[in-house]
Amino acid sequence: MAFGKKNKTAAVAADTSVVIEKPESRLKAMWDTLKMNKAAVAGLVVILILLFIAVFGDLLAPWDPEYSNMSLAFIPPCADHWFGTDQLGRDIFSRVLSGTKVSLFVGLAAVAYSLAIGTVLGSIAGYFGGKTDLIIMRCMDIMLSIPSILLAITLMAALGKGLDKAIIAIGTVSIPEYARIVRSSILSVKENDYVAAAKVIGNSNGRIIFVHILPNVISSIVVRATLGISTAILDTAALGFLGMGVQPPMAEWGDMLGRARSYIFSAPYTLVFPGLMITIAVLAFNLFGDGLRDALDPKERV
Amino acid sequence: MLKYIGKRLLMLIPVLFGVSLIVFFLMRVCAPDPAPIVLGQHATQESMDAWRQANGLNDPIVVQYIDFIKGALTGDLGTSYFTKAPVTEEIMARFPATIELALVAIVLASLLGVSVGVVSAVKKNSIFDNGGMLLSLVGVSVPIFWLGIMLIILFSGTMHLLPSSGRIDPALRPDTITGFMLIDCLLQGDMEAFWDALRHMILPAVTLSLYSMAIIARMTRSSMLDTLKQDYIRTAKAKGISDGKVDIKHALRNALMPIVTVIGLQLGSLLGGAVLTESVYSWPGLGNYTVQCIMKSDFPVIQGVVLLIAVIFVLMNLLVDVLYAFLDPRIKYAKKEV
Repeated sequence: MAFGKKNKTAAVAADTSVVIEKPESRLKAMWDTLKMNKAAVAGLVVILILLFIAVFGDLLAPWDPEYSNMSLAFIPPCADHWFGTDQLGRDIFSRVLSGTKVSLFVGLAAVAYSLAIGTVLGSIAGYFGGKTDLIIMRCMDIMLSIPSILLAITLMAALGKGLDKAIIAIGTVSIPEYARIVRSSILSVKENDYVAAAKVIGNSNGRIIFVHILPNVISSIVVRATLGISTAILDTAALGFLGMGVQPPMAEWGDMLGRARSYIFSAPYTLVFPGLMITIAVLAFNLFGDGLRDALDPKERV
Repeated sequence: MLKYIGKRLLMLIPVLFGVSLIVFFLMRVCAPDPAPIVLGQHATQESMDAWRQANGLNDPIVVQYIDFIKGALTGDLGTSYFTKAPVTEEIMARFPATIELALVAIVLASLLGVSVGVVSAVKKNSIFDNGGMLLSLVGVSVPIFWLGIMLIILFSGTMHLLPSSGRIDPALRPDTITGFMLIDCLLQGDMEAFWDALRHMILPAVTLSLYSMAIIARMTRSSMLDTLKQDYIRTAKAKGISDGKVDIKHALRNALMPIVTVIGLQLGSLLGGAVLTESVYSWPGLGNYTVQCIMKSDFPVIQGVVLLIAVIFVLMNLLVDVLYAFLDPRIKYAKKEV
């Protein structure tokens, strides 16, 4: 009995030491490296500011972004209208602020959508291998053989206008990328002993994939997703510019550019600020994403 | 090698089949009925029915698809709903404009991208390096259509230096021989038209090339940095060969492989970027036309364009893989695809 108790104490002691010596989590280590990277921190700060604008933009806007008044059309930037007014007399500064939530929302939602589907497809392909793998990855190859923006506008043509459709179109075109990344990550860990152990004790395939494998490959997915947001913001703007984005009078940066382009010579200021905002947002996510990648794997630094 | 190329070409068939299936499904099943769009809001029910019948849209969808594939195999992609002209003719009339623009852009992007990348790598952490990398970061972040608009405002609107739309002054337009404006002008010895065409080309080509330039510059820099660390570079320098010669002849040559890959892949993605660039500059190419056709639901044309671009895209990938073997004799494709 005493012997047993002693053993138990030893076991507890061992447990405690395990807790103490537990290595820092990968995310914590990533964050520590990331903090040293000024460009990445700057990107993160800009992202946080953009998120703030996205949430409170309509409250911060000095004018109603959707209120048009033809008698106020084409006022160049001045004290009342910092970025000027557009062809319908709407305040461009207010519309730029209001457009932030659309771009960020579509960007995040499109990435979430393609990440979800891409992860499931990539996991199934990588985990089961064989014919399943072949069929899924061939389908992904087919999607990759159409330039993404062309596929996105074809999808928009088929689905019709609207934000929800834009999310589907932009998200769908990047599914193959996530599927590929997840598949190769799964292939690299699925032969590990812990996966075999999980199988032996009778876990279902779904549980093994989602509970045992995916958490171990999540960091590379996070990096790709961050960079994916910048692509999604660019694609959203491109669809808007081509007139396939939001319905009027909603403000969206690409749509603002598309509608104002006829006034390129008479009122160039209408075209400067929405594009500048797109560039800033994309740059921020690129800087942050690059920083994340470097923090994760310094070897991949480009 | 030939066997490998043959195998890859065979693999094109399922890919193209898949692409045609996707596009056909999107255009004929998901998309709204084109009849009211083509015939106008006020068309009568009878005229719309007749139009659908005439264009085979009343047939079962499977029959429609088989007809489409049968036609495509014989080079007949159907006729445009609007111009009534064969889709292949419509495409071929605009294709050279797009290819010309894409080729000029990729040459520009490669020359500038490789130069910036090499300088950045050789002068690592210098002002050139930081400037070059900042430029390439902006290059991948700026929306291509906004860049186009800003360049038009600057160089056409403000400075009146360059034209903002079209391929050439209509008065100077040469007879079409190849469809490539610059080549046609040269063939006819019309230098005035050549310079005008070149001036029209500058802004669209710069706009289209910036993104690819940025990607190529980043890849060149990282590949060069890897190569410059190698022992043989140190040996070459120790032997007293000048730095410039080592950087170009010894380092760049060995760093070239990934750069060539990126350039090849970029040529494919330029065709996608051309959609936006052509739209901004009213460039009479395939990209601009495709956007218009999508707006008008001209399905046969959209199907044809997407198929054509997919073929080019896949062939470019194949070309890159084959170039690999030439650049690096260690790679052999004969036995098993790696």
